[in-house]
Amino acid sequence: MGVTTQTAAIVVEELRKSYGSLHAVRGVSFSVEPGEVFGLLGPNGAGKTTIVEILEGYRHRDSGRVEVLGGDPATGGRGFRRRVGMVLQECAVEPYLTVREVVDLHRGYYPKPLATDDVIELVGLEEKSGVRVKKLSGGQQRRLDLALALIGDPELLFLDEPTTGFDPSARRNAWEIVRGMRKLGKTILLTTHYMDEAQNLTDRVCVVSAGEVVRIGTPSSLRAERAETRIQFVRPDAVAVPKVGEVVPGGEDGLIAMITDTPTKALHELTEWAVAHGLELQRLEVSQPSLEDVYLELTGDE
Amino acid sequence: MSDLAVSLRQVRAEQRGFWRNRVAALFGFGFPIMFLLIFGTIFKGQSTCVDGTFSARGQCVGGAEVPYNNFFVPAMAAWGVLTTCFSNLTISVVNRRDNGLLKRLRGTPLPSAAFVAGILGSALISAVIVVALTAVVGHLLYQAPWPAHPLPALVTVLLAGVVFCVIGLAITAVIPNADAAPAVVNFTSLPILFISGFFFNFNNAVFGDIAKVFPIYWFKESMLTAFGAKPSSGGWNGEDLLVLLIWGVLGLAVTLRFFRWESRRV
Repeated sequence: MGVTTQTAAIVVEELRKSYGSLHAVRGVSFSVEPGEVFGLLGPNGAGKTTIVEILEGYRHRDSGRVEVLGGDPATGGRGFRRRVGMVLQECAVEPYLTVREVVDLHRGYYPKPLATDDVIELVGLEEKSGVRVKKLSGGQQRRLDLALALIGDPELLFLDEPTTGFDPSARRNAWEIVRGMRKLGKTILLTTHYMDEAQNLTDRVCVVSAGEVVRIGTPSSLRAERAETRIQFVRPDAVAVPKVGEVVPGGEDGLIAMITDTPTKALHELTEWAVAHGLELQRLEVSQPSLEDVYLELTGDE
Repeated sequence: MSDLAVSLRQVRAEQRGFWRNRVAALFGFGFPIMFLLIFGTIFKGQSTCVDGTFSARGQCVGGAEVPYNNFFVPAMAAWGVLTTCFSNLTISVVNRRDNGLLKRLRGTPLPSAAFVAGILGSALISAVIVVALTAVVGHLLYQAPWPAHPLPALVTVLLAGVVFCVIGLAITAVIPNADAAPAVVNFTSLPILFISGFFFNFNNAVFGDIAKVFPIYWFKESMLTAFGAKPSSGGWNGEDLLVLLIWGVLGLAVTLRFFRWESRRV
């Protein structure tokens, strides 16, 4: 659009939305800077999609202030939709058209679109460009979603759980695309269930739970909130393990996990005990809390 | 790209989708052609009394006596317009509302009018093709005459096509989900087809009066007129077309007020 503005790309203040007696969004505030990749995290039913759909112009808010690209999305109309790209949850594409036909059709909706071939290649569907949408796998359809969001060369991208259903390598590819978009200066608002995705992609995250913001910050600042170290190993048979820290729910069965503020001392006690009993601690692991640990604690989702 | 160009591209995309979706194409074309073949064969050589009844002595009273297939070909052509414009369009729009395709389009700069122009234009093309196909099959197999008044026939088909598309859009508002769509579509059209005398001419005051409330009856009448199965001056009957138009306006009002782009949340 040529004009560089210093104002935020998205401003949300005291946003509220209820469906009947269900208070889906209860006074949410945050802002997203131009060029920022902003993650909206939260469990199912936390209000993420409602917030995103209000920002996309699909839903009307009950109260609060919302500004997206300098205007109100509720009344932004066609001019607004020309400047944004959306990956929505569970939205079909015309099943009997080919990938290329659909991307090309959508290309015609925008004033300054990218080239069809470039976008198809960007999302890694070049080998499927002649295939009907119906025949694509779930992950491939999601990549097509991304292509349709990108074809209009948007300033702002909404990605509502963009990598759900992707296999690990497709997810890595999608991440590369998002990073590429970021380098081009696009602002991106994404929601995700995957903490590694948030960790890898976002500049800042906003954790919502039950319609309220519980934390906003960079992924590393959120991780730093928990200074403890996690010690984890396979529970040995027939011996009581010394408690060198607070026992927490571990990942898989058979593993025991503890967290401690004094990892050096705890490890010393633990290994001394193990050596004295002639035990090898299988799969011993010492780690910092992940974003997921912090997230689970913040959202009380265990 | 201008809005007109975008609309034309929508028409092309819709047509592609229609023909590639064998079920939709079969549903739109299969029924009228199949019944034309069945009834056309059974009643070949017989005659019917359009708008009247045969007396005990076999005289057509109050109507015009014509070969059965002169009547049946325009009636089946009319049914073809109904299946392509009303049934197909309604089912496909409800499907797309359920699967989120309409929602997706709402998030793009595509104007609603261009989208509607696309599905309407495509349905009209299919309607013209099914009418032409019916006329050709009727002519070749059953010696039915070509439409006596081609221009009135085309105008009637296009006007009725638009009207039934709009009524189809309106009726999506009362269809809860895609599973219910075929049932609602068939329930609202098949009984009216029968009481409107699409298959046999009959004389029953109650059914006849009920049929006259609905646009399907008037459409059949205008098709019989344009195809020459009913005497007329030049193939036009203003009254038929006026009733269709009124139904179109009603449908438009309901559509503008109640049309939903997203399925209801539970």
